[in-house]
Formats: sequence, C-alpha cells, structure tokens
Amino acid sequence: MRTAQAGFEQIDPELLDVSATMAGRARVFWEVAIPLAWPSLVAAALIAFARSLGEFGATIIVAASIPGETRTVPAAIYDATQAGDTALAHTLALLTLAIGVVILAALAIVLGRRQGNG
Amino acid sequence: MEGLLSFQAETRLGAFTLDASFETGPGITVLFGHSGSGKSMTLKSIAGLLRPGRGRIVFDGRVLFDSTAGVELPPHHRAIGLVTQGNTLLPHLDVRGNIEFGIRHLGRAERAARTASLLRMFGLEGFERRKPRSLSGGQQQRVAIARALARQTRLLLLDEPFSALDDSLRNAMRRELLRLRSELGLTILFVTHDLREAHFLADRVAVFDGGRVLQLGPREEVFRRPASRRVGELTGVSNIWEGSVVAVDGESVTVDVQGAMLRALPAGRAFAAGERVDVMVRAERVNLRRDMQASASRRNTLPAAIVAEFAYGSSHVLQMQPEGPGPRIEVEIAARPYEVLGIPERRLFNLEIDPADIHLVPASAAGGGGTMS
Repeated sequence: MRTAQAGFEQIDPELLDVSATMAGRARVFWEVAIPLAWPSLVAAALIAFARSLGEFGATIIVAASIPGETRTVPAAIYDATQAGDTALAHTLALLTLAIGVVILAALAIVLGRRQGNG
Repeated sequence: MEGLLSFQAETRLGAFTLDASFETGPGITVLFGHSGSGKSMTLKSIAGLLRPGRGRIVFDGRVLFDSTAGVELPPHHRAIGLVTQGNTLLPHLDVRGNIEFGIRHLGRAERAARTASLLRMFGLEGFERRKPRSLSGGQQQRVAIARALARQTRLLLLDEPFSALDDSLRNAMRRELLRLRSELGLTILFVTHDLREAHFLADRVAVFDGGRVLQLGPREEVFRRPASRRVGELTGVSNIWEGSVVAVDGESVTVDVQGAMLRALPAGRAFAAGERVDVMVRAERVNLRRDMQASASRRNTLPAAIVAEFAYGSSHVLQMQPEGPGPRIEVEIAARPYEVLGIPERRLFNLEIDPADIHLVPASAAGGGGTMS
C-alpha cells in the first residue's frame, strides 16, 4: 500500500493542475495519474505477492490446507515434510526460491526505471 | 469587448487574503509583484484550480465563476490554456500525444490539422514522435504553450513560464511570445516577479501587493506614473523622497525636497500649496551634463557630485549628492554615454531633470494608500 501511495504522491501537483485544465477528472486519473504511478503500482503488487509467498501461519489458521482449494505452496511444503516426502518438499522449496528471485529481479528493474524517470 | 476578462475574488488562505479585482482585455497583461503577493492565486482562480471564497470571474461574456449565482465551471470547461514554470508535459506521451491530450474529443483529421499547424507555428516540425525527456527546456516550454493553444483557447495563463530556462533562451522565448501575441490576438495573463521581464512583455501591468491590485494600467503609465509610493517602490523607482508643495502655478508645481526646489508637471492631478507629497524620479530619467551653467530651459538643474557608483555592464548607476541642499539622487546611465561624458575622470556634473519626469503623489501617510507602512 505504502509503495503504491508513494507512487501517486511523487507526481508533480503542477502537472496534475495543468492536466486538469485540459481533461476531466476521470481522464486525468486514468491517463495521467495511473501511467505516472504505474511503476510504483507494479512494484507494490510484486511486493504484496512476494510477502504472500512466505505466509504460513495465517493461511493454516484461517483457511487450513485443503488440497486443490486452499493449499498454498508453504502449506504444501509443510504437508510434504509431515508426510515424509522430502523430495517433494525440496522441489517446492526450490520453486519458491526461484519465484522469489524472479520477483526480486523484476522489482529491481521496475524500481530502477522509476528512479530513472524522476 | 471581445477577449475581455473581468476578475473579482476574495479568498482567504491561512493568514493570507487575496482581495483582487481588475478588468483587462486582449494583449499581454503582466501580473507583477513579489512572490506571495497573490499573482499565482489569481491565475489559479481563473483556471478553476482554486475556489475563491467570494467573487465573480467572467471571460468573453462567459461566466466562469460566480459565488452568488452558484456557477463554477470545472477547469477543463473554461477554455483557458495554462503554462507553468516546471515541466508539465506528460512524460509517457510523445510531443504529438501531449499536444493532442486536450483535443481527444475531436475527429482524427481535425486533430491532425491543428497539431500540424501548431508544430509549424512553434518550429517543432519533425519532433512529433519525440518524448519530452529528449527535448531541451526551451522546446519543452514551446510544446507546453502549443498544447495550451490546441484547444483554441482565447485566454492564455502563463505563470512564470520561462523562469527555469537559462538567460539567452529566456530572451528568445519572450520575443516569441510577443510575436504570438500579435499573430493570435489572445488575452494573455503573464505572472512574473522580474521587473525587466514585466517591462519587456507588458501591454498592461497589474501591480500586486499583499493580495491586492494596487494599480492596473498601460505599461508606460504604471512605470512613469505610479499611483502610490508603494507602486513606485515595487516598480523600481529608485528616487522616492518626501516633499511639500511650495507653489502652484497653473500646470506647474514647485516642491521643496530637503531644501532643493524642484519644478514638476503633475498631469491629471491637482495639488495645493503646503500639501505633503511623495516625489518620484526614475534613475534613468535623470540627465547628466558636463557644462555647469544653470539651464536656460525650464528644466531643473542641480550641480551634484558622484559619491558612489555601480557597474551593471550595460549601464552604470551613480549616487550623487547635490552641492547645495537637496536629496541624494540615483542616476542610471547607459555604458556608452558613461564613457563619452568621461565620468571616470570627473566627479562634478550638472543634473538635469525634466519637470514632466518628476512624479508627485499625495504623501503615503496621508494619502490613504492603505498597505504602506
């Protein structure tokens, strides 16, 4: 949330003012504010997803780990470990790690571009 | 009259109150004053970006805002163009996309035609596909002005649009604006705190101070005949003295300024003997003469010695003390006459002031000017 909010806050108010003299509120929001805040919005989404990947406790308590319905990767790793299937647990852990690395790389690119814009 | 803007607004913003009212028409009206004097607030009120507490704003017979009638057009329905100091181009759109941003509702052919003619007018042909980031500061501001004009606005609001540019570019842009004004016949409000810029661009000047318009008039009138001491101070009159009227003879008024008797021709205002006045003389209106004879003409002559001088490159400013009684007088002289008169080798000159260049206003304390301390 904070990342997304920062994206909107860093838009120059002068730019929004001038835009408002040429187009209505809806167009200024969709065609000015959103495109300008876009890198931050993508970054925020990626961060939220990455955080959710590591979530275990809340998932188990609230949604349990029903196969095919509410079983998340961390829950599946836990179940696999409990069931003694360490090979599956290892694979899933590696998969999680790989996803994490991809997200970090994407974040680095998105955030890097955001700074380049400023 | 076509292109007539009538503005009246009272707005409180924290401790500051804007209480301004004025009328102006086609041509460039410079809103001049220190920062925080209410110029930009005025512009924002016209654009619809700031809601006045009370007031009425009408352009070309169309009511943009009226607090009594409950009229408040949204900014994009006011048909105004706004250009500010910073880069306000949309970075994700190219030059064409920026210019067409405000005319998306038009047909493709109409849009293309307008954009093409604006690009030509601003010498931006070939830049259609360029992103704002790849343009120079001057090109960016040209695109910003083109974009403001794309909606066929008749009222252009410019808030220090050239302040972020470097000096030589700024001068070129000012000349371009003058050209634009004569070609398009727009009503242009130009906000600046730069006295030289104000003088260069203005057809009319509105002098702002403390949220009020102290004077609005043709440029020469405001600069040559400030309505009050405060306007004189703001518009760079460097000789402002207190004096009193000793004699009135038809058009001609003689004032005593610290013992010096000066003859003035205050057009359009009557003064009475004994009245206390503020006496204003612009530094560039004082003439220096080498010959020390009292002038045979009816001009004021005053032998005076140079006590200090400052070089500004294109001109020199001299502070001079009269030999007899009289106030210290600041004189501005262009670089070439400065050399021709041999000022570096000589200290004593005859100062000559045309009575028409001595401007009198009722003394500020008694004159009810209001904002003067």
